Amino acid sequence: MKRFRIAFALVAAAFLPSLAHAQSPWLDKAWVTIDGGFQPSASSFSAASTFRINAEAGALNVSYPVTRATQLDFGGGARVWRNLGVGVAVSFMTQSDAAGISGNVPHPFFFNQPRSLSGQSAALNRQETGIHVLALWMIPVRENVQVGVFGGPTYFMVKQGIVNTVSYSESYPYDSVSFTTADTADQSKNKMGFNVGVDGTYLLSKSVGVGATLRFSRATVNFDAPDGTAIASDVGGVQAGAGLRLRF
Amino acid sequence: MRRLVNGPVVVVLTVLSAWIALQTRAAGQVSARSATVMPRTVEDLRQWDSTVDSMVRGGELRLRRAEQDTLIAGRVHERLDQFSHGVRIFGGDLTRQVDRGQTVSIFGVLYADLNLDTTPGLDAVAAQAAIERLSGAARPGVAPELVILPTPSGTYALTYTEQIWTDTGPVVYFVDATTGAEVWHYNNLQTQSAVRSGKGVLADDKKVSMLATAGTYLADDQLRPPTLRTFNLNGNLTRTKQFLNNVITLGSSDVAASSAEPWTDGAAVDAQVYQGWVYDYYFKRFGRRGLDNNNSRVLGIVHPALQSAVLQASSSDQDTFWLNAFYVHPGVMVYGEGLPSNLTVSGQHWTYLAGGLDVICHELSHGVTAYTSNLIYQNESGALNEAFSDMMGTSCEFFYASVRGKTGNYLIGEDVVTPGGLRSMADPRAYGDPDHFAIRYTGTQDHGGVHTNSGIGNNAFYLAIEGGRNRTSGLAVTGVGSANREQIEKTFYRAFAQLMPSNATFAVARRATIQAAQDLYGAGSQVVTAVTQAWTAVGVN
Ligand SMILES: [Zn+2]
Repeated sequence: MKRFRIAFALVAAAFLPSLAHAQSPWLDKAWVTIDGGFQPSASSFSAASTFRINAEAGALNVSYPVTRATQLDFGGGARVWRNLGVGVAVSFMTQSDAAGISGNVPHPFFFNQPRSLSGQSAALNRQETGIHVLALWMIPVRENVQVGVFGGPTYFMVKQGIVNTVSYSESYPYDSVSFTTADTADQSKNKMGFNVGVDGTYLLSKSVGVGATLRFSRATVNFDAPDGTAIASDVGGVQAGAGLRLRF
Repeated sequence: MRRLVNGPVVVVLTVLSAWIALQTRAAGQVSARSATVMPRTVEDLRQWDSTVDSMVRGGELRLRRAEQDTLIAGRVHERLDQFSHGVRIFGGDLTRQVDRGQTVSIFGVLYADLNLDTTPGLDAVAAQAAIERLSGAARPGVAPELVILPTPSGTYALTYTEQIWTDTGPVVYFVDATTGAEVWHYNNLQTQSAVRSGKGVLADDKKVSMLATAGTYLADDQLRPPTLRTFNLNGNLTRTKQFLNNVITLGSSDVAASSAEPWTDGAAVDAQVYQGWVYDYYFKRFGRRGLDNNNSRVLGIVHPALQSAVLQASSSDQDTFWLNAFYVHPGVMVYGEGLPSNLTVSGQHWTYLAGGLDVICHELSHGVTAYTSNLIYQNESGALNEAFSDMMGTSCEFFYASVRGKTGNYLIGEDVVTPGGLRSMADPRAYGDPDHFAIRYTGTQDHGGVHTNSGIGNNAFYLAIEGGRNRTSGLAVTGVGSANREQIEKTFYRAFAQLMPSNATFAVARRATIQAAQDLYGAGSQVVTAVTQAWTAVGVN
């Protein structure tokens, strides 16, 4: 949540002065945005677990990177009252990264002499689809420049490859283990979150323009770990996009 | 390969499931036809019920066991074996579930067309001899069972069968009842590897490599290359002696076993664990694979006698089976039972000797000697034989200092014979043993003082590592230092296991160890200097 507050504060600081001065009416009936963009922030989530083998507890940690990724974003809406519009935007993001695997596997002959295990899964796909329902307050700053601030609920649909089992090989005298494979399976989870953001449009004509959007959306989904526990993963984040703007 | 889950672990290990191999087919077989009994309707069930009753009356089915149902009160489960002319048919049996006289279910496999002549050509004694010949193992006093064997190829064979413990586990043999030729065998090892926790003689926690069987765990290491097994003779000295005299063989029921965790039979735990550690020490330090460098078996025996019966034993038995551990070639170690805590010898308490890592490594090193230099157990070569076992025993202790949380030392047996242990390599004279060739024992006791004059070689080994002065000669040695002890261990191992002849003298040992040091570290090396000075200091030139 901390990152969200920072982002929102920046957005507010940047546009509140404009808000105060911009009292011009917004006359468009509806709008459409088509953006290409990216999610500039990298993050990760991880799953830690313990297991028992060789009469001792071992540990396994799987770290899933969520790196910068490009996304496709389109949306539209209609003005409902004065400068207020309601709309919906849909963002698609897909990426592929290997999960990092590390662990300690107890030695078969000795207590407190764990063998370290490390490896990488095959590339795991992550797809995030966000359906952002938004209320938008549009501020025509100049005749051909509009700034809209928006916010609302987001419905996230996330598909992520999750490591189910990790295999290793060992041989006498068992002083080390070698990672061999990680079995993975895709999991799909849906979760309601929120979005806030700002959109700037430069109109090239009455109905066509270009623009940029900065959006922060967020939800936390729980994937299922094989041991029945939850693997929490943040979805959304800061999304920046630019593209075509249509006005009707 | 093992496989572990992100969370609860799933270990995928090779399960040594029972396997059956058709070996040969004997003459005089007839076709086998089997019927699976699995009535599905009430009528079928009634019919089979009366068939079973009539077969019981006719002696074709015989009740093997009737067990009360532990989940549904009043029900009884009968197991019946199929017989033909008084001979059991292997695999022909059925179960009948009865509820207060009313049959509820029947399942089984019965064989038909049994017109085989059931008169064996061999008697049980001859069949037993044939099975022992095939298996290479002996099981005296046991009679094999005459059975009709339906073979996988669809014939019947009149055979004798018996399960016998071999180096690969319990194998069930079937030999032709007329010719004694093998018809079938299968390994009845229904097991997999298991690592269990246990408490050693000194109540320390250890991991024991065992073999999991149905509901229990046997001291039979499945993780290391050789057979490493510990037998528990439960204090039966008669059987111990019979085994050592080859009168009996030990079977799966003699393998030390535990179902509880941690396993608390300290002697069995330590024997099994330390035998493995010693194998590992030789492998990691010298690249040696077991006693013969070819993964020969290691069989330990714990509780060879009853600790509490020591006072009733003869003094030679006391010295052998209570106050001693010994190696019997090939690969058998017997770990003495020690004394009850209220008894002492010369003020020293003796607990189970398997509790001493240096003791076990000492005994197993006699095995290495037996397979290598085979130093004659008499006079100087015998003293060198003993000294090598002490050197390796104490080296094991140093090797495992960190995992044991206990620093090594140059005392022998100090963990199990308290206080003080049996010998000192640093100062043999403190235990009445010579540390110098000039004061060696020259009598005839103890094979010419093999446990006494070992002090001379022991002190040379100690000085080559740690340096210092020999107490008798006062000569100083610059040792390689304890951080480099591996160099001296390798030097002495090389000399004793690879260079020395069976009738070596101390002088030969000096020359051989110097040669080994030159081979490994160069003629001008500090190791050569240390070894040379050490032998000079103990009066061996
Ligand atoms: Zn000895």
